[in-house]
Amino acid sequence: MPPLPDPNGVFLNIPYDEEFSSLYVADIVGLCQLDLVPHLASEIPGGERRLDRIFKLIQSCRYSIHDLSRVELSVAPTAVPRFNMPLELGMTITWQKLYPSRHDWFVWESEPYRIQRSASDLNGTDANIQNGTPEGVLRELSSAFWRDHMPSVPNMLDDYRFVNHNLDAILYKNGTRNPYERSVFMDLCWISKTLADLARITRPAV
Amino acid sequence: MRLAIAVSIPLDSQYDEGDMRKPIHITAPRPTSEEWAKHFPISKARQKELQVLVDEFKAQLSHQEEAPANSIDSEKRRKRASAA
Repeated sequence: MPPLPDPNGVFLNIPYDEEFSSLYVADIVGLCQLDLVPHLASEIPGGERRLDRIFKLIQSCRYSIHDLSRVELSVAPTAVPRFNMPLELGMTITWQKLYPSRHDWFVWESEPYRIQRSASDLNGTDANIQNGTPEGVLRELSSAFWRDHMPSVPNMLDDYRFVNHNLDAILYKNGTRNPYERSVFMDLCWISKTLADLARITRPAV
Repeated sequence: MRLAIAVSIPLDSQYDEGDMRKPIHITAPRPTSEEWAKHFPISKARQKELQVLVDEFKAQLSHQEEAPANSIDSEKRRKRASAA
């Protein structure tokens, strides 16, 4: 039996593509604002098989967010469906069915009713609709989680805009163009957490 | 005496499914600085570099202080900048 999960840990099951990067930044900023700790598969060092590492990470988190908004065919030359997100969601559902008190999961989509078409077995699951916008992501985080003295969505949006505006500088300093790399993820978490602490000093309770 | 009323509303774009789910109330203690540092180990040198960005954010907040004096937002920002 693995150790108890981190009660503030949130596993992010998201697509690692360029178009999603602003929503990824919004996820990190929003979770840090809620004093939740984001986790990403790319943060775990190599060695073990990737799937084993991901499953361990899911088990170590109390919550997970599975964004299925980009479950679609990849671009040419060989268009194939993107199965990673549904695969990790399936692993999570199994884990939660075995140990219901250890995990809660959320499915996020960009459009209402799209999930009924892409994964009809999830009918009856209330997906959070983020509308494909950072504001939608922050709104849905506020809908999914409730914590005393949580920030308002406009407050979160202010911080998101600043962090996203500085994403290129962070990428440059890390010598990469990939925002999902471990070092960039760490930097984004650090800066988001620091801004969240700064905001908490004067933020009115919601 | 309490009166219970069932309300039937249209489940259109304004009342989509997401609105029907109750939020999870997080009662766990907030992570401590040590826990954060354990999750996201970043060198002191890197922290200094990132702190430059945070300082820039603080400067922006101070700049926004120059907004109309009676604005609630500007007051909140002023407090936030001075607290920092």
